[in-house]
Amino acid sequence: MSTEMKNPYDEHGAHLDEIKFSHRLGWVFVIVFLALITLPPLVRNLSEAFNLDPAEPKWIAPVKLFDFPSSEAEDLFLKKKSNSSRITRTSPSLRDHLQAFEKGAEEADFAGISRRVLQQELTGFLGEGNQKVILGKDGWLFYRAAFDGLTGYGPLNAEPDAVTKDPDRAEWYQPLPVIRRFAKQLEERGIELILVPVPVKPMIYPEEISGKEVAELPLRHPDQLKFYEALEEAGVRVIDLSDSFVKLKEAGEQVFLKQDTHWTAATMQAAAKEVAAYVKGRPWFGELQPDLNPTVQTAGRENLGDLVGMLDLPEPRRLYEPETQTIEMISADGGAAVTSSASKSPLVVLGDSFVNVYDDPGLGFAPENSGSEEESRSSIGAGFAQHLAKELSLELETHVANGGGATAVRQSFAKRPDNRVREKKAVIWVLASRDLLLSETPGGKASVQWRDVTFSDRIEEDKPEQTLNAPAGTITLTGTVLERSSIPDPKSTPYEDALYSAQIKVGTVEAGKFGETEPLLYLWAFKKRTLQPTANLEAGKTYRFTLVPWSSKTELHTLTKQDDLTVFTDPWFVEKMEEVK
Amino acid sequence: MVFSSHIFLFYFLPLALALYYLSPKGLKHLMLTLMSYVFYGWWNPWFTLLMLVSTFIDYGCGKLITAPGATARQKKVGVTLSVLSNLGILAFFKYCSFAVTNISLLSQWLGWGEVPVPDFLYYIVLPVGISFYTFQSMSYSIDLYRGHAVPAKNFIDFACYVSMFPQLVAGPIVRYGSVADQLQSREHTVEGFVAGFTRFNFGFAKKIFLANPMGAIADPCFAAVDGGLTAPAAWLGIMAYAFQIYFDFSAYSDMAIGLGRMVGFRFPENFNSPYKSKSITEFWRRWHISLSSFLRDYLYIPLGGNRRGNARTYFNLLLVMLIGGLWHGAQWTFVMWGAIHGGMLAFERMMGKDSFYSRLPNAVRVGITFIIVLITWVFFRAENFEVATRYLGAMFGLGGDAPVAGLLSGYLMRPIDWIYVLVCVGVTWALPRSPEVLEKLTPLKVVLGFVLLVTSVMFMYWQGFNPFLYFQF
Repeated sequence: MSTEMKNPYDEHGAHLDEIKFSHRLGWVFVIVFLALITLPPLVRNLSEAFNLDPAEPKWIAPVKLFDFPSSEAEDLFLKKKSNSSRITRTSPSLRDHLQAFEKGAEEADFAGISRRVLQQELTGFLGEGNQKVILGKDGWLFYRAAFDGLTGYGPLNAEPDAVTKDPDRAEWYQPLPVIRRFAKQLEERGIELILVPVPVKPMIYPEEISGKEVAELPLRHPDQLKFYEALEEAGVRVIDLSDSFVKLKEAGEQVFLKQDTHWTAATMQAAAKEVAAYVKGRPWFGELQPDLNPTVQTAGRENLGDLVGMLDLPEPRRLYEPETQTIEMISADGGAAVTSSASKSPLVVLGDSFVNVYDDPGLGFAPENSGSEEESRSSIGAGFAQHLAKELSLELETHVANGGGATAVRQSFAKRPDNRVREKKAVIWVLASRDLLLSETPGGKASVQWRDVTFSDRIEEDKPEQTLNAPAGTITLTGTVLERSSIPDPKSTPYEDALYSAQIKVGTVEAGKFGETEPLLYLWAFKKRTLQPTANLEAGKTYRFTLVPWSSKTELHTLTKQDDLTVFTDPWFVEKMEEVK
Repeated sequence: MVFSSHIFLFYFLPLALALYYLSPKGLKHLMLTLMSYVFYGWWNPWFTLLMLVSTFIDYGCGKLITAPGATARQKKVGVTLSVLSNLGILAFFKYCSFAVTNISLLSQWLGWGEVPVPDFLYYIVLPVGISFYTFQSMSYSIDLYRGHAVPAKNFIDFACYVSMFPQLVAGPIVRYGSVADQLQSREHTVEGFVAGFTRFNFGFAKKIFLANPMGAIADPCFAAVDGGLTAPAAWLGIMAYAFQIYFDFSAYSDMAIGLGRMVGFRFPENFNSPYKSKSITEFWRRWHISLSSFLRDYLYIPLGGNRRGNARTYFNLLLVMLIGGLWHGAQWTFVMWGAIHGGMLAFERMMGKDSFYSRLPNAVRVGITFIIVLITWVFFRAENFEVATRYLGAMFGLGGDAPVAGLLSGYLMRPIDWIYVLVCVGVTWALPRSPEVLEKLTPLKVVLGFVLLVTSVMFMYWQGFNPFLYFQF
């Protein structure tokens, strides 16, 4: 056999080109190409290296690659399908580390600037939204997940699996069985479940997307009513607000904010009235003693809208004007905020950002010049829960999480002591109907998760919860992390800030008095979509924590909490933490 | 790692090129191999071990086949071992869950109950690009056995051929015989490098500006609820998918060929304007050429090709296309896709060259062929038969009765989407293919390539993560 042989497959062989430039010009082209692919990351990493804060050392992107996680580390991001790859996925931490590194590299300034500049022009000239926002007619913006929920597989038919789908995607559970089980859990505790699925914008304003008037409004997913019927059969009371919203629209009211996923203040107040009317009609309502004498204060507030925020424009005000709303702030006698500490109320409100939109200042309707960070987080008091409380003349216990209406809020409630839970008469669960309608793929993109929750069997004695008056910073201890909740990718969530939970085994109490051995901690996961140093807690490692009672951090109570641990003690908030080597 | 990603463009590629060109001649293949393993291991580091095992086996088989004084029997053992081991790896990782699931279903249907198989067999994850590199690796021993190639000089050269990152995960399937001479010696020129990155830039732009926007139209159509899709939206959706898969895959091939060229290799072309085909037979001469010629040379011809009478020819065509369908994915929809193509190939052969169809005007034949291809793409894209039949029903007017259908079709009929579709139509039928566009490489085209690269990068950030469709196979 010869040592050289011609290509036997030349009939579909390589293409030969004819070069029409000089050798010297060729070198210029090569230099330009190499400059295009090397200069941007070089400039970025050098500038990062020069700007490193010696007090808080962090790695520049390329070095982070070699900062491998320890073998005990849990996955940083949401749990993947546990059964998808038993053979080959033996090192999820390493794989996730590579993915996290890639994400970190993508956060380069020039990438963000390019994207934002391009978005500005695409939105301005071509009317193009992005992966999260659909640009409708006449300045209406729509959350893509709401559109996907309405047009997709829906709540009853599971999205088919296929070999072409990512085998490591997060596990998906259908909402119907999860809600049925939750209703059963409540029923066993003598509690009624009242579900209030808030219609999404395209159900009431489809013509602003399609450009065509729809003969019959509201526009529902074909399985939506069947789904509600199935819930009713399982003992869940469903208050479908869709028809009322259509009536409001027909009466000339603007039902939704144009540039925001949420309802207008007037619609929310009307919804609160409708829900209150239903609650007042329940047989047990007459037994409840009114404990609220509310006062109402009106204010005008303006907000550019969360959908404009999701467009991530460098100059949003070039294209959009803020929308003004007149909000009614509710307070109890003496001006105290309503629903902030009503943990003994017989009624519980679980809800997502629809409940929060006029209460959580982070959602845009805060007064201007709110002052310090703490002040800027204090609740506005004009949300759904406050208005419902006003209508019912009752304080309410609330568990609200932006983007966490499906599971996080139920989890939060289920962690309450069993004797406190059993005192409740009803749970009023208000969440965007898109969470009920989304199937696996768009649901995953929108970070919607349906999970069963486990109720606590802890009994609370009649004494103040935790050491409420413990001054902040007085409890310092070391502890080894037993487990931690996973957190979503901050770039994929509809909320900017989030906390997460972890459980530790206490080592040494260095300052203050502390009686618990395996407490539950809440820590910052991300602020303004930036992962915080506390997000990197690793199972098996020991840290020094400075703790304050969670109940004293009321300004953080409305934030989304990623908490998938079944730990039922009262949580603590981590003010400071450092690794103990 | 995906070509159209930040990490590839701004970290991996400059580093790989620098290490490659700074390495002395004798170490270039080692460096290329190491970088390719990094590229591949990015998805899952453990998968590189699988590729390494496959490479060892085939290199060993090659040694056995080409050993001085090797008997015919020895050669046969070598090639059989190679083919069986590669197909075995492929069968285990790609088809095991499928087989177990179907056996279990059949057993239940027959009333025999559950088949006692270990649970993990249902959950084997598919290593990226396994269908491509096992075929490539296998082609080495087959080509040696047939005397179509000389053995690799050493293990590193062979490992470099199997793992070469430009075409590792989605082709073109480069048969050993077609690059054996280049592995021994090839030219590195400034002009070749420029030609390479210009081809890469054009491919990148094709992915970003043509394939991805088409995917954004196709995806909601295939995710539409029962009754939620009107006939025009269904046709628009499948047409968008046809453009998406063509531009996505041919963009990958352009980028792979361009990257190969940057390190001195010339890879075979993989596409030749397939939607200009006037028949399905012609389509398969133009679509995924490296796969169709692989199947032709290593399967169809060994089966007897067209030499054993008409009936056997039709059977061979059908069988080859069924296997071709299954090669894409362990799912019955892919088998159906292959069956329709195989059936059409057999039917066209039966009709002969003088049929009524062949006398129709070219434009009509192109149109008919495209419509048949569109219908087959429904099976290719759908997750299962239920989705496929529902989609086909919608295409032929049996959908769109749900109120939400108007919302979806109204959304899809936006002027911007029609502009995208019209651009794709123009590029598909009115423009020459990319190698022809770049045949005479003028400074203007190189500069245009730069412009396309910069704008594509901007749009890449805007579009977010968007992997190539053929990575799934």
